[in-house]
Amino acid sequence: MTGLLRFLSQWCIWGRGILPFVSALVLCTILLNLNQQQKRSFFEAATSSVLFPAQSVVLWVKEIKSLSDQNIKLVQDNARLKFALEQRMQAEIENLRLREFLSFPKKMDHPIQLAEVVARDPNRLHSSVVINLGNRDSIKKDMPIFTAKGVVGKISKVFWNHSHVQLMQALSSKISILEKKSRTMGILESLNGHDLVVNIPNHSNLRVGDTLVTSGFGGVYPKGMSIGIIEKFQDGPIPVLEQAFVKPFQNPNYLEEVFVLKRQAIWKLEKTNE
Amino acid sequence: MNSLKYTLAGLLTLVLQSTIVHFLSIKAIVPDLTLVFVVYIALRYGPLAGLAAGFLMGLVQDVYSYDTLGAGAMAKTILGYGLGLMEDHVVQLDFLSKVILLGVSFFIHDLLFILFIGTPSDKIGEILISSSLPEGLYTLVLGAIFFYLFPSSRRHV
Repeated sequence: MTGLLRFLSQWCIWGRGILPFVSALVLCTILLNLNQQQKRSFFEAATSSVLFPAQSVVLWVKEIKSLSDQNIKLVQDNARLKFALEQRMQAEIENLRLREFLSFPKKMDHPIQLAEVVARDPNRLHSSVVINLGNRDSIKKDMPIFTAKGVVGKISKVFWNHSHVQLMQALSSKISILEKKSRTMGILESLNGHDLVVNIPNHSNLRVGDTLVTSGFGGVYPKGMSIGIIEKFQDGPIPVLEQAFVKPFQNPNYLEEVFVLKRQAIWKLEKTNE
Repeated sequence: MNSLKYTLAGLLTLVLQSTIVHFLSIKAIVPDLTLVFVVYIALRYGPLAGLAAGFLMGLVQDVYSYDTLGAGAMAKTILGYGLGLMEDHVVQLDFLSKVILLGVSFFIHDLLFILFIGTPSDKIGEILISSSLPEGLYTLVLGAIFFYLFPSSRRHV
């Protein structure tokens, strides 16, 4: 045993630690080249056993501190919401009546579940958060995540007691959107992990302050969910396009509670039906 | 004893980075505390400690990014080891040199990470200017405060 330890310490020190350095690089290369299934197993073991419990404890302490403030706020909100609910019920009745009158097809409703953001992706260039709902709460991949202000992102990975949410700001995120008034369509994507942009034709007549909502075409997000407003324009990648910078209604840095729309992507539903 | 102290400090840095740091964001710009930690350890304790800190910090961070597993670990390992070697050669780094090294390290780290995850070349410049530059400056300010509060003397493990 002592011999092994001596060998290991000499191995580490030799050549200013070049051997451990090369070993670490080889290990990193192996990790980079793992297949999706192997990566998933690695994630499940690491997030469920180490990271998620540690971050839950920190948040739990923080949560206790803010509980009293939240209680006061909730009482006030409750009174305000009761009033709003009354008004909404009236509007719903009116809406139903008008739908019937216009023979509009009834929209499919989906249950919504409140989730708490328990952790964030510590990598600055990869935007994702972790919520405290998982397989046990019937959460599925690609379910839309939103707040009262607007769309946040979608579920990217589901574990037993928590899930990863890919934010709109993630480099690989793409959302089909349309402008509320002109119905101009486009694809919302992240420019650099922070800024959201849409490439639109020069002749589309969009202006700063125009509101963007989901188009429903991607199959993940239902039509009409609020995304954000156009903040500024810039020349696009080719002369016939211009780039609209979008300011999201929901700031991703201030996420504490989010809603999960328990709706599976359209293509997944079709696959199940087949 | 020191190893235990710094392991706990590293864990605390990771937890802070993934929970509270985002509340300190200024217009979506967040500092990278883990990088400050790796630079500090590497400069204080040399290449082996820098390598260990970089590899472990990067690996834990990678756990959150499904398709980039290994990229962060590799970037931070190279950085931690490289900086540790520098400390081996340079006689004594003053406060300003450490802060400048932190800034340079930040850009090298981001560049390596971007390259390892296979970002299209036309996006690299954009990411470095609009994301790495402001975040690097923010990290630099916090790092400077940290280096001022915890000045390190040369010691190697």
